[in-house]
Amino acid sequence: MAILAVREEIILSALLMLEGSSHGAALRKKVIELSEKEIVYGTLYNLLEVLIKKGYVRSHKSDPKPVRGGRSKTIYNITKRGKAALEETLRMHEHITKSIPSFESGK
Amino acid sequence: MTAKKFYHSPGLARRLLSQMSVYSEKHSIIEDFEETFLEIQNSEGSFRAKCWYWSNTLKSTVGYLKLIVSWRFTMIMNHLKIAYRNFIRQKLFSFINIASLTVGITCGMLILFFIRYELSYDRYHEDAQDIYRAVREHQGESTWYNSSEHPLADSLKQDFPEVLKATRVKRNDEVGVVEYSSKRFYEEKIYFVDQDFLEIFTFSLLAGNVSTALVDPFSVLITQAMADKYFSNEEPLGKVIQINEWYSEKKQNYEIKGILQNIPENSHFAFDFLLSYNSLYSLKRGGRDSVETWSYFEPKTYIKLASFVNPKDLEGKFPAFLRKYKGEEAASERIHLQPLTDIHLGGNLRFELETNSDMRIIYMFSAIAFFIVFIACLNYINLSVARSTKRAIEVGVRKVVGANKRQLIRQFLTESVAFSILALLISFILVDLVWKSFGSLIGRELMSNPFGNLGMVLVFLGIAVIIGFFSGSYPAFFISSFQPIQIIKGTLRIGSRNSALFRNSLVVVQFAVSIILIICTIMIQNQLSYIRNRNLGFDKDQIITVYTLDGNLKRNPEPFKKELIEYPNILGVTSSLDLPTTIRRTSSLEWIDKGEERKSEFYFTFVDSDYFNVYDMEILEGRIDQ
Repeated sequence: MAILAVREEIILSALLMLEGSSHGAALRKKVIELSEKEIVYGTLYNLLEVLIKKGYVRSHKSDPKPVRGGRSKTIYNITKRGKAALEETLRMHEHITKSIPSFESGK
Repeated sequence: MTAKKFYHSPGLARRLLSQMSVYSEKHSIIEDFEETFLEIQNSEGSFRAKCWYWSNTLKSTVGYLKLIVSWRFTMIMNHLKIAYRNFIRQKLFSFINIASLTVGITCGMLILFFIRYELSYDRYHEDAQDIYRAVREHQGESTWYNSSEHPLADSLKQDFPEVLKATRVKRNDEVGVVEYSSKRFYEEKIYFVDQDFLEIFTFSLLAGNVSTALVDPFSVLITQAMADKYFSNEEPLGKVIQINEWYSEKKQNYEIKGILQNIPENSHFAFDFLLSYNSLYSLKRGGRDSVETWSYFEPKTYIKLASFVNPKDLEGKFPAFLRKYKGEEAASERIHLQPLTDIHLGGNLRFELETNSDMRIIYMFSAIAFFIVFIACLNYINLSVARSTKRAIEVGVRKVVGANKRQLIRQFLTESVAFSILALLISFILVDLVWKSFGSLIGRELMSNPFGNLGMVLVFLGIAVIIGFFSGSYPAFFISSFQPIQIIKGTLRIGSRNSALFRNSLVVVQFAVSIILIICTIMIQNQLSYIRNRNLGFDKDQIITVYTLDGNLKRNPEPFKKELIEYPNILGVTSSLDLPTTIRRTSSLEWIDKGEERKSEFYFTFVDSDYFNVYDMEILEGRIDQ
């Protein structure tokens, strides 16, 4: 299983925190909350494209809501593979943090 | 409720977002933007929200472009792969296509190099656009003469402040003999020039001083090539060489005041020796006054104008100027300022310093280059359309899988551009191979490396892309419009009646242009052989000419002639001032015919009585005195 890039990791984490499924606007909010950095939609979509291509995320269109003028939203779901990749990446982070003594003693 | 009323975000930015088709189709960009927009509007006010919307729209555009470029790249790689497979599968077709494009591009490229070279004449001078040659029109004649009177240069400079510099350039009429210690050669390219010469033209001095080099009488500047020829190991500067005086064996000493870099090939005059003009004053029997006279036309006059001056304005002042110096008889004479850069392509005026070319030749060659490339393109179109059925299945499957027409057009254009770039690369190699022989074919020494500057390579690359687009456009539209259902059922009928007409006319045009070019070639061939074989009125075969400066021989050639005629293989000997092809001396005749004044100009030379026998010339009327 491949290790995720940092921004991919953040997006997958955000998606997992939103119970594995979200539309774009909510996802972006969560990502900003996690990384404490602004992210442009274009960048977000490009990253999602990559994640979809890798099979970590699946997207589908929601049923159109009448209040939204008949247009549907794209919903993103994290896949099993996505979850596994995220878990592995997080485990690696934990391992690295533990292995660096200065972090331990600094606490 | 209409969609317009529903949205609160800025309309223009939203329309921009909707243009990003991948984002709006695969992701719901507009909805997501709208949601965040409303949130910001509620918490921070609508101004901040609008700012956010706009800035994020623009930033997303950048991200979108990145995405698109990476997709395009993937697609282009796929198209190239398919092109390569087709190339391999249809070897003959591919070979013919590439070969025709290669031949077309190679010819076009060579012609372009030739044209570029012709247009580059005299442009290496720093102030080339401000330099003019004063050419003259004589009374009642319609030809322009490039020679002018001796005092013209100085008078122009004196009378008109716009004329910054002026020089005369006079080529030595006769072949000279240049001597230094034991070395003695005939030299043809000896020029007399004024002091300003070096300040008008950009000929760099390797040694010597620009402002003083041509001041004193009997100063000479020589080119690097001559320095090597006469002074292999010595320092030439300050040395004295001897050059014979005109039409005599008397020698005159000249001091070398400078060494010039060799003259570029693309110069309308080429010299080896530059002599200070005032040397002429001492050489002529009458001294300065006999040279500085308005009564005959000899040197070429070149002037440099201040850069803001319009030459047309200056020309307007010339009639009064001429009257001032030459009196009323000059009323019908005119001076025209010919730009330096026009001289080489201005056709040959009479008595040019070197053989010039003509702008019409440039136009003609441009047209030929264009038509050759055009034929190659037509050939590509016709061949591609002809074998389009072979690609039909591919098009059908692509369409069924979801390719739209635009993507297919893009695919076929990519293919044709790839073909033409491949042809271009082969052309580069071909041009490089034939470069030397091409130079000798057109009789000019071209620059050593045709692809020396990157600019030219980029221009060719651009041309190749244009050729690719042009030759790929029709096949691309044609093939991409096939209906998948017809293709797969096998009921495809290629094209409608209109498109058949179009394709037929393409073939006709291709053949017509080819035939026209072939006919022109044959015509030119005939013309040239006519020039070579035409009866000139004298027999030029089996004649050897010897040039001499020897005074005794010139005064009395008879003993030498007698000696020569003793040889059994020599059938005849004659001595003359000029060869039949080099008679340059003119004079004019004025007479009164029925009360009307008539004037006529004629060429003349001096010959002996054997001249007509040796050249086998026929005398129309009169007889030869022995």
